[in-house]
Amino acid sequence: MKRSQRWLLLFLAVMIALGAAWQFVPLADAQARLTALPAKGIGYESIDAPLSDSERVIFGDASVLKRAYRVGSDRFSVIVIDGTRNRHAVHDPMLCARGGGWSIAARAPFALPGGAGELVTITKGDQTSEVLYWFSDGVDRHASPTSYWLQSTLRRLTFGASGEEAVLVLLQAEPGRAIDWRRLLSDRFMAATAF
Amino acid sequence: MRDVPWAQLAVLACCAVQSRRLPIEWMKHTPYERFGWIALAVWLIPLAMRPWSRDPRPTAMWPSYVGLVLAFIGTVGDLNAIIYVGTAFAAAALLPPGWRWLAWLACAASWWTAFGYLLTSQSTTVVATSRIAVAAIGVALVLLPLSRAVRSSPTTTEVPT
Repeated sequence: MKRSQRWLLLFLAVMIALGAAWQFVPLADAQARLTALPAKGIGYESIDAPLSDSERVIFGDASVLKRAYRVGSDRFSVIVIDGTRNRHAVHDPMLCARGGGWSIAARAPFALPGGAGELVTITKGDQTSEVLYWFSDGVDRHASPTSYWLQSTLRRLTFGASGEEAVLVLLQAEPGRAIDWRRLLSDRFMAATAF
Repeated sequence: MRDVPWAQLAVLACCAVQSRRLPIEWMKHTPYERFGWIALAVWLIPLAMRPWSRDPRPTAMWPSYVGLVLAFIGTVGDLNAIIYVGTAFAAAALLPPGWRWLAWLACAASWWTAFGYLLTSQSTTVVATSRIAVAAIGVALVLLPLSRAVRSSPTTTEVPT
């Protein structure tokens, strides 16, 4: 075997050892921010929704909060995914919507404290629904899956020094019913949570 | 038959193991990932033909190093897309580099999940067809010049004595 080949094998061995050692460094998760979301309060209440079998497979070890909220006459579901333990559980929500047979009718930026989310109108047959989503590390909010991937990768490469884990927050209105998201988030919901 | 590049093959095997989620993405993920395996099979044709190739140019070691570093970053950073790029580099290390090689390497995107993600505005049929077409273009770029060279090289009976 040539010397250049031996050097490559040595480099391979070092990379494998380093990669294995990396996994033992614990990474702080966003569990505290998930549990901070109140299940009920003045003027609103919720019930925990069970994960479907396919969701359980997709989310794996990720921490997931799934609730159905009722705020006055508004009804909507909330899904928050913390991918610290399974980064691959966090996808581009629109890719999942398309995969689920929904079509995107409209999408627009939605201003939030510390950035912006995205408000999307999706349709499937006669059904129409609104989805509002964003990625948040508790300070900055954005709706870019690419930025999320870079953010989470950088965090893992720096052992968490680059910032808190970003979670995906996804709010979906009951099909066929419009929600004044601006009023909902400014009056009640956003104020009650660290998202 | 040329020498077996054991070290480059070991790097490719390591990167392939790290890419183990790829078949799951092709089979079970969104419809946009369908037929990625066909694109990979097509893209790998130049590698499968390498042991019988008459191309005298030597391979290079640097693509293996690049592939390994990318696979490492993708693994510890938990980002499969980078691992797949690394795997493509590790596979490309088994062919002699050049500009056609570079184009073929770029066509590895045809079997990446990012390909389907970037084309979600298209129908799934268009995405699947594009995958196979891009892989085939990459293979043609590498193999066609070699097949021409084989056809035009004089045989022993044609060589004047």
